[in-house]
Amino acid sequence: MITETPAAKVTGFVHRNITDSVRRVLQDAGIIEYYLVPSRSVMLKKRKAPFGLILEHRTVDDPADRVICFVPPEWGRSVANLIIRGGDLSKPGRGSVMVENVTISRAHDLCDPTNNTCMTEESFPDGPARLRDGLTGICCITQRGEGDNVARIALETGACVPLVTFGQGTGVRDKLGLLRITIPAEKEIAIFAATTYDADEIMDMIIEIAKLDQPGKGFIYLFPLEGGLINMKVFRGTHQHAASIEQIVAAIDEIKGDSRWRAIAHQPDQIGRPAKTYLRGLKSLSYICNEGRGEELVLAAMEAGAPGATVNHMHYAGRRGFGEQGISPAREMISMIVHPSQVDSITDAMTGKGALDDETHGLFFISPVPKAYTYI
Amino acid sequence: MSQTAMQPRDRRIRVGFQQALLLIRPYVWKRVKEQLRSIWLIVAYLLLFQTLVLRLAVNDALIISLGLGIAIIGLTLFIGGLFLGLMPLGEAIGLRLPRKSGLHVILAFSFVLGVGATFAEPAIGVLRMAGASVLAWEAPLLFLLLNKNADYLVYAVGIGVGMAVMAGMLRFIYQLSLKPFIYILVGSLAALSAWSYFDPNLRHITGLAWDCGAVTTGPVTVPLVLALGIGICRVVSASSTGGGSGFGVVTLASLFPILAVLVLGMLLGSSVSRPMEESRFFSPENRPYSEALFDSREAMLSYAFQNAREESHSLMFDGGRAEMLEELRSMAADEEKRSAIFGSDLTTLERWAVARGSEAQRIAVFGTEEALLEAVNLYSGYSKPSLRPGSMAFSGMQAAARAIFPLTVFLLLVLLLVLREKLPRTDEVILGIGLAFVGMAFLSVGIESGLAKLGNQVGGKLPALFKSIALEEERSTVINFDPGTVTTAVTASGDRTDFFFLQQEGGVKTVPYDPERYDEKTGTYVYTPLRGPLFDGWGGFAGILVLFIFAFVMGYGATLAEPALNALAVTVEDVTVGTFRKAALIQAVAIGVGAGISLGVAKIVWAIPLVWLILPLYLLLLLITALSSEEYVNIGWDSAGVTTGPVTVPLVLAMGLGIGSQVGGVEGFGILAAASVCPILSVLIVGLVVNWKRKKALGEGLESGDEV
Repeated sequence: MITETPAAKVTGFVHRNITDSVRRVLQDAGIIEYYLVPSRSVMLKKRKAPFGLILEHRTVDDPADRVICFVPPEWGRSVANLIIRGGDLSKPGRGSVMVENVTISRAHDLCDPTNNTCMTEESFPDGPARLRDGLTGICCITQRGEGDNVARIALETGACVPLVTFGQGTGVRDKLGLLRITIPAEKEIAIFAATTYDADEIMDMIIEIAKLDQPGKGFIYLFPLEGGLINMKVFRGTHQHAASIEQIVAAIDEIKGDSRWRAIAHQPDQIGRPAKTYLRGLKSLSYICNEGRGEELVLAAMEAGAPGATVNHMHYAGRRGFGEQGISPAREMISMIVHPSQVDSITDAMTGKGALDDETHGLFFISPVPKAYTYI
Repeated sequence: MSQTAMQPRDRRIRVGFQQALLLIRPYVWKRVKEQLRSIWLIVAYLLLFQTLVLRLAVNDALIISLGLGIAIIGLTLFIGGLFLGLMPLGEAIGLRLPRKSGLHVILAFSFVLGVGATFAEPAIGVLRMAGASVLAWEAPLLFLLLNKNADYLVYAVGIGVGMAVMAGMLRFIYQLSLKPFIYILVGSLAALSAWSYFDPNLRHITGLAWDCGAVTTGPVTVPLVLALGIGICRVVSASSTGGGSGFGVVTLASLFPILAVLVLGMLLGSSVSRPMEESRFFSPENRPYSEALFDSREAMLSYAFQNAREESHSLMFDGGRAEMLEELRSMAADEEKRSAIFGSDLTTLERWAVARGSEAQRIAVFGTEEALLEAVNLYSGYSKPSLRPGSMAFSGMQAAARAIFPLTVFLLLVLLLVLREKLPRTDEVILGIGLAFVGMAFLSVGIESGLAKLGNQVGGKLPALFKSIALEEERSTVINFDPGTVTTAVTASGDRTDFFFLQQEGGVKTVPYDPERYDEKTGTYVYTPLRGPLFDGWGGFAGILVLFIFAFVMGYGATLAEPALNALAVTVEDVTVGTFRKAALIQAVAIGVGAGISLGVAKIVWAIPLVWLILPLYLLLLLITALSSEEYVNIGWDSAGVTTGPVTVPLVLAMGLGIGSQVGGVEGFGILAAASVCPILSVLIVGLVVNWKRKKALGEGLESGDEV
């Protein structure tokens, strides 16, 4: 059965130690199926130097998880609030949440997220809603090893604590035959959210620092968020005041209702540089399937015109256990940024290769990408 | 992108030869550079130590540098092959096995894989080398296991590894913690070892058993098993990474074989005679028991001639000394008789007579004084072991083929026939397997002619740090020596020493005169230069301290180049999404190995029983394991299995045996065991510190986070 339904994709970005409590509230609320993507959260740490010298901040890593679930669109904000409560994310330093509106274009019927939940109104206890508006998601795909540089920008602008995931890139590489092994496929994917006022500025900074205007360096895009909560505790370490600066900022955000008051002023040194040609009005086409099937389907997608794809492993937590012929707990996600006109031909090509069959248990979902940048 | 993306593209881009080179050159160079970085330390260190500290020239420098070059190429190819071919193959099977087959298939597969891996990479050669100085009468059981019953030893280890892989898979599927396995296994091993310590025969087995555990997990097995485990866990585990899951099989594969060997020792131990005096061992009434240790009477006779005293040779014959001499005489003449004991080549017998034979035995072999004199002149110079590059390359290729092909063919068959799945990225995997094969062949040749040779040279001379040793390869024979040239010198306290002047290589040097080295009949004086002690401060302890430091740096440097550790570290970094960096793991393990090897050297220098060394460390480890998080326990204990690989083992053994032969015939067992326990300790300690910091950081978020 092929369906096309709107859905909300809710992603919790939580420290590994908190993952279990988030999973518990999701299960209690009747969300049976969700995905876990092993990641690392990157923070800054002040370095001590003798004689009071100032050193650049060091980045430190913590194991973290992206918890992703698909729910009917009207539940999106409630599930996000649930995750916030379950992981106690309103305290700075514990994690972030993002809600995106996506369209599930086709899905194997086992994977159809609209029948994956058995939530009722009682699933959501009352409590203050912590979700903020006016946020934009930023996703940057770079070569392995560059992730921390991108993360540093997110941290030093005070935008958000980013989560970095490993992935495999495909593109020109796969058209080279066996010579492809000479081009590393390992990629790092940094994802975080920033206030919409700052997102463009941060995107430009990342393009500069990660040299995305050079060939083969990476790709960056913005994606709209329905709502979210960002973790602003960018420094690891103790603070000397009654409330940390992150707590104060969070409090003012709540009073003001949004975060426009702290938008970064447009930097004058941007003027005079050659204007960048951004890619606008693209679509993010993502596809989740059982691990091991992705390779063939990526090739099919590329034949149908997809310029490249990023593949990352994810863990499926659902009702079907080991050994049964259901959805495999080992899943992989293929992410492609494509022109809207290509979406159908690519999904058709992949479906033709068995993207929705019982071996694969595929799920396509599409979301808008208003602005993207890479070397063309 | 939007414009180019619109048009459908060709499936393949044609790349010209020039462009292909442009792509390949940086790819290859980057990898060679990586291996250069990992191996330069140990090479530079050994060279500098040899030339600057020991003040000795490097023999065969050309061959060694050639060998090192080959070793670096081999390492590069082999590691490339691991990541391209062997590990993706293992992971592909791991991902499909739990979904496509039942528990019994998984278990059967695991057992066959474990046993097969052991037969593919039998470390028996390494163990034999470590036990080369074991004397049949001092440790009969150990001798039996290393020689006549070496097959049993390999079987026992194979069964141990097979059971370990099975247990590991069961653990993954039922998502059990590694800790109880460690508690039970290490607990019972500790108890068994302690008990064995009080049995004179089993005491010698403990070293062998613990070393078996360390060496069985070779550079092909470890990456394969790791990748397999990662694949299986991705399917069966409950959390995103399963708390370091996918690891742990290597740990079990190092512990189970120890148990298997100890049990084998106990089974065989009852039928083997106890350690005894040499004369009793060869006495006629004990001969039936002694002969049971050898394949045949001839084998025992051969062993006796090569290793025992002359009286013992006579004891082997019912007619006593006269018959023994008669036998030697007939062996010199009769090729058939000779071949059973000394081999058909006459020179072997003659060399033996010159090197080991007593006066009467020499005469028996050579017949006349003149023939003896001639032979002494012929053989008494230091004979360099000859280097045959052809046969070395062949044996290297043979070992590589045996290590790689049966296992990969087995895995491919399982994938294609049992699981009925296609091989993902077939061309890459096949290329990878090919690279791994060529790389391993290169590596073994390179190590043998380069690194191990250098290690041997340094290792043999190490005791010069704290005592005076003879430089055998600089031994020379003075023909027509005139005792009249010997002069007497007086020390400040009035003691007299004899010496003579020797003209050599354009200079004259004084040589202390030792009457025992002068053979009046042949008129020759055998002169062996002495070296050391180089550091004799603090009652000789300074030299030993330098030795420990040397052992530490050598262990550290060699570990950096270990291919299996590289594979483990890359896997760990991948699974933890970079929170456990590759470099951090390699450094922690290398420091651990360095410390372990220093401990092992201490064992040899001071003849500490292995049990005293291993047991406290393992008990401490159990305590730390209980405190550590599951993830670090898995990674830390797995580090133990990967440390002792093709780079470290030859170096460590060369050093251990070099020291052992100078400080008195202790076998070389135990260093490897010590080298694999310390890295666990260092990785777990790193884990404790990191986790403590993380908890602290998260705890701040908890406590300071009042309602905002």
